[in-house]
Amino acid sequence: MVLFNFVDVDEPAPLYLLVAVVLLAVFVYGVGLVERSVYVVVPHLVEATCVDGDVAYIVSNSVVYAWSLNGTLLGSAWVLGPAVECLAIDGRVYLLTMRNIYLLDRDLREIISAKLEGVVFGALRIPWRAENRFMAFRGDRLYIAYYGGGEVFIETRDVNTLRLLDVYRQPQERYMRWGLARGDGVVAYGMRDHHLVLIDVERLENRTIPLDYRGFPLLLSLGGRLYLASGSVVTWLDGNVSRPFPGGVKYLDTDGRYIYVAYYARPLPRLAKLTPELDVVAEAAVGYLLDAFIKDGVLYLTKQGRLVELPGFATEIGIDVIKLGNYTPGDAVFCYLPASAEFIWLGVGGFEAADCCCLHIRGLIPGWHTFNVLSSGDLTIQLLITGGMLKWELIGPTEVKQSYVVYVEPGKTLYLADMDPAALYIIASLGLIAYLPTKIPKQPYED
Amino acid sequence: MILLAAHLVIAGEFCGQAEVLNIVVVDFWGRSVEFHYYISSKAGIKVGKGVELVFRLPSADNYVVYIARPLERGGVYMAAAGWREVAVYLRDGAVCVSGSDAHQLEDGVLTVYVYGDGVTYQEVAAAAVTIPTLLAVMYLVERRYKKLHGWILKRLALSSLNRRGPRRRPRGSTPRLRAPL
Repeated sequence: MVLFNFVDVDEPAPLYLLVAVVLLAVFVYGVGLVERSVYVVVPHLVEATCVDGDVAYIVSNSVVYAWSLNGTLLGSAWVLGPAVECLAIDGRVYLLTMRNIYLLDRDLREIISAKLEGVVFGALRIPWRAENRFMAFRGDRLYIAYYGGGEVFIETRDVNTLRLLDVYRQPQERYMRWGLARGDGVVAYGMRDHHLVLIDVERLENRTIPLDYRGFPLLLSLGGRLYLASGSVVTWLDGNVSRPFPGGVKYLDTDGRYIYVAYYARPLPRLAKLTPELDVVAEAAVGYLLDAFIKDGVLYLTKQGRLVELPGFATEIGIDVIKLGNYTPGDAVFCYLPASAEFIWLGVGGFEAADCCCLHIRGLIPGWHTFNVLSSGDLTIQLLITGGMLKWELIGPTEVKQSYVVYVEPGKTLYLADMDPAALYIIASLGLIAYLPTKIPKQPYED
Repeated sequence: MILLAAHLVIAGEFCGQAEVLNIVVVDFWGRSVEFHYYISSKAGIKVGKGVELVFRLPSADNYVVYIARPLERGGVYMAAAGWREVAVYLRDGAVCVSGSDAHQLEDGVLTVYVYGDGVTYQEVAAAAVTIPTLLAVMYLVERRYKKLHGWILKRLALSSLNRRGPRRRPRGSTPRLRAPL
């Protein structure tokens, strides 16, 4: 459990009490419940995703697809150039490409588009995983922060007309990755020479904080406070409080009351719910997420789907609709007995959680889940093809052998065990062989 | 290769001279239904949906059309579940289609049908007529040739009785054990 990581022997006694209370709270409170889980397929790699109500928008190879959250394709439309980011709110879809911003309606018809002041650099990430945000809504204003052509731009546009209201520019000689904080404030930030540069767009305040971190941090603004996730630590910048999450923080967001932190852990990445003082209230295993978005008490979690059995490039994306609330996490024990000449991995969604043959997930978020048995394929065929020289580096989970849809009830343990049908035949034949000697007559017949 | 051949025989292959190819998914009552498709070719994959899928021929590329059936299990929805595959390829200038359930070639338009429910009322109706008819014919033949049938059976039985060689103990009869003296 990650909770034990911040129990330090040098800390004063009251903190122990606090930790004990937090530990107790973890068993009482939960993060949420997976109400629905949707898997859709898009051709090629994913560039951006966003969710609005019952529709998920997924951009792949410069085409935006609208999928309803019951698995039906509503439509698709071309955009000019690869998408950098997608945001959807109240029936409007905002698509940011390297040079333009598009406003589409619910049916993906273009309402209006506008040219950016510069060109967004360093935006595409392959394989895709949403990290920093370039766009943010605040009321009737849309903010876009990006680095392009030797300058840092922070544009303020009207939400309905995309008219440019204001632009903040700051020359930067070298490439500087840039983003906007999630949460309620309007704070743009970038990393330069081991320093974090913060710009409060509303107050036009500049700050530079030394930060020894090689990657790009995540920033959250909540009620005037700033929270920074760099690597495996979440820090309240002015409060001088930090909380470690070993494995690395992948996502930082808020529902206006609590802070949600997704971090990498084995067997499954987890989501923790924190108070603004960074005390862990609850946590649960959720799976590997590519992006997430909180709206009206619902967390839309975009994750890698199963393997797609199509020749060519295709990506399956899973979207979990998680109702945030105090739902006690459950446990899951999942076992599979293989029999063929193959390697087996156990997965939750598209994430490989364990090798053969049993997986025990403690504190799994309750609700709907898809458990998968992934296989390397029959190795005898590969042996024949390669003439006995197996290429070990090519052996990996390449096909979905079995898929199970399960519902984990809050606070309960789910047991799921299955076996390869071939194992049944092997067991039956062994039983038969054991049984046969008892039936052989000891005295031969005589006529 | 054997598997491929078996697959083609089962799925049914049809080749013909056509300028337009339509792929239609029909329900039990023969009505066209909207379907999701994924077209896979060398160029990549195209995803879409519609009531019919129209191709202008000849196409430069071979492709496979995957027909997806959205699946709902509890709270989990899968868009890519239950594939049907229809392969379209060129052979000697003719367009060939395999994996479909029925086809129709009219005025250079090849319409390929995929049964969304596995079967249509036409097959059920045909089976509903054919199976009782066959049974009735068998019954009548049986009645008409009962005497002949009995005679054949008798001849067969006699021939087996008159067979040469030692007789075997009939299956299931009690074996005779050596009696104690």
